Amino acid sequence: MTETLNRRDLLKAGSAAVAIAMAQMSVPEFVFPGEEDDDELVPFLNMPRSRPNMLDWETLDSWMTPQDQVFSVSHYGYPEFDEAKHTLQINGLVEKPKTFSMDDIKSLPKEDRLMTLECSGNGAGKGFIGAVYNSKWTGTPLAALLKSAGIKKEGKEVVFFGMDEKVETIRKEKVLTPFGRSLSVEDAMDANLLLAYERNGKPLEKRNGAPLRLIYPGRYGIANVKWLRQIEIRDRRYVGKFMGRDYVTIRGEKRNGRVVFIETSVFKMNLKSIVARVTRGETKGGQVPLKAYGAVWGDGTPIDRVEVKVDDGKWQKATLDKEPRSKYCWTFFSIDLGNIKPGKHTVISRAIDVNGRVQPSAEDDEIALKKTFWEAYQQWPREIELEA
Amino acid sequence: MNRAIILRSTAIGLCLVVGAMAHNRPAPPFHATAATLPQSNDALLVVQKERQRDSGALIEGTITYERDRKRSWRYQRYYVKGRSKGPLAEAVVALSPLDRNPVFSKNRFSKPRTHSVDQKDFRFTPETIAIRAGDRVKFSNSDGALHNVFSPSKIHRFDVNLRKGNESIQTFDRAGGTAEPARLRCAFHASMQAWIYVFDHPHYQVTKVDGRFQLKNVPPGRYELVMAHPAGELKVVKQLTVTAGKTIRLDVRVSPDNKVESKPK
Repeated sequence: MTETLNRRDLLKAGSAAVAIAMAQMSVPEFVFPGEEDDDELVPFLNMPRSRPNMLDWETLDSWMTPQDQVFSVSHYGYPEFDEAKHTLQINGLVEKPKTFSMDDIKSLPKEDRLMTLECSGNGAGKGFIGAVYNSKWTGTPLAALLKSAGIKKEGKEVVFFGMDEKVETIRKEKVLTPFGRSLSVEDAMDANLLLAYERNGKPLEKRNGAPLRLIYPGRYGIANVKWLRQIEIRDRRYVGKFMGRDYVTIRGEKRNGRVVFIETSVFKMNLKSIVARVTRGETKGGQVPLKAYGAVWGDGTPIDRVEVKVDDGKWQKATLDKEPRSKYCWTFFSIDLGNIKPGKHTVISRAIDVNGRVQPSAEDDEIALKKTFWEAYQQWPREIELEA
Repeated sequence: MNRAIILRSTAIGLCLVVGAMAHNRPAPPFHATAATLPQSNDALLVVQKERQRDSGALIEGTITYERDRKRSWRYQRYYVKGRSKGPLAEAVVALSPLDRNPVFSKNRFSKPRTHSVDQKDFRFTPETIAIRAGDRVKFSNSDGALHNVFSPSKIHRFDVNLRKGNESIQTFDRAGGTAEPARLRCAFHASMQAWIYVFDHPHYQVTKVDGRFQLKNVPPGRYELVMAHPAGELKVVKQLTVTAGKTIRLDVRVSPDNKVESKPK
């Protein structure tokens, strides 16, 4: 399968062929629907230029994100160790503590997970809106490994430690702190969780967690622990730095006329959409034909619709791509916005899921009363200027 | 052809000799056609006109980028107007003499100037500038966020944090030419980058959106003309001979063929 096969080719070929083609493709390439060759990109105003290792929204044409547009965030730098000799330990409150080499893990049943992974801080500012990417992760399901180790009945919490660590000063004490995140036993046994060693059919890159990364579809990047070295079962809640001190959202909630601040640990991805690009045609009768394209994603809850509006106009329903789709992946959308008069405009999208949840605007209480930058899922206005 | 201007593209060994026109004779018509010019992405067109000044030559032209669908340049939209091809903005064009050239070297010193580079909307603005050795650059921050200017460059190493409204003035004393620009970053925002090219002569220019350049008062001699586009990692090198009082028209077409390997970052 060549990488030049695009979505239009697949649609022309019919849906049966699409299914076959998709099954065979390691990294499918797609373009947005309705994109004509003569469509001209309308650059966004007041935005930084896109750069490698971040998603380039305005040229987004691939459902699976190419590696050179994949972001990475590390908290203690990239740990140095011999990946070939790397092992994973499962211990703590288990009947049979286990140690797996990478060869052991690769010999276990192999499965794929399709998933859009986003940094919870993505969207916190203009300089950080491309920290999201879509992938096929390959590895072995976690649940079977936990079962084989046998979690004791007093085991309540499953803690995942990476190879990365740093001496932190906590209450004036120097503490060598490993990067760690935890899940309840119930969550950890979810059949979706994967111990991944490949992305899009290629070995993981170091910056993305090689040789082994926990993958939990529908959860923010921070929960997908990189450079995984140990899974420890414990009998009480774990509140490491990246669950209890950082990656804590502090948000005011209005109750009976007063605002109560609630602190929650960043975990599930939120419903979110963004206009990726706007294109225009030739000016006709003093008006400019305009189209918008974008993406919508969340924690796996099905999307009902995406709406787009120009300036203070009415919300208009966008068309969601029928293919490709996967529960935990973004869906691309497009909309013909009709003819717009030249000048400066704002184009904005909002997502609505099947439960009626609406992606909030920056002015809505749930965003306006949020004191921390994580979980930046507010609507994102795009500013453009149309030349006559 | 006794006053021929010889231009060679060192990249592909293209050698092209075109019409010679003595400045004291009327210029015969010159038509460059596909039949007379070699077909190449790196093709160039040379026209020699009547001299415009008594001393020094004028080298002028346009840099045009031509897209290759199979090797798309993701950031083309920031630098090229037009989808398939168009003038290339923010390209540095500069000369360096191939032989001892006392007149060229005479222009080594000038009164220092101060240039401005702002950090606005998480971008260095402008992103690429060219200055004389001894010039100063004033860095400022118009964003609310804390920015930084970090230069690991051999020609001027520095590292400053800038809050909104703050400034830092840096003096660039050493010339690195087109080979060694100061590559700047913001330590806090990896997507921010800028380049400062420092020259020990005045024969350089950075193209604007029209892709045009004009190098004035170029002393006679043999030169290497370098077109460098750091953001696109594009480079074209041409050798040319400048005759007194001539105007050299040099249009350069750039494509992904002119991409050079980037230095380790």
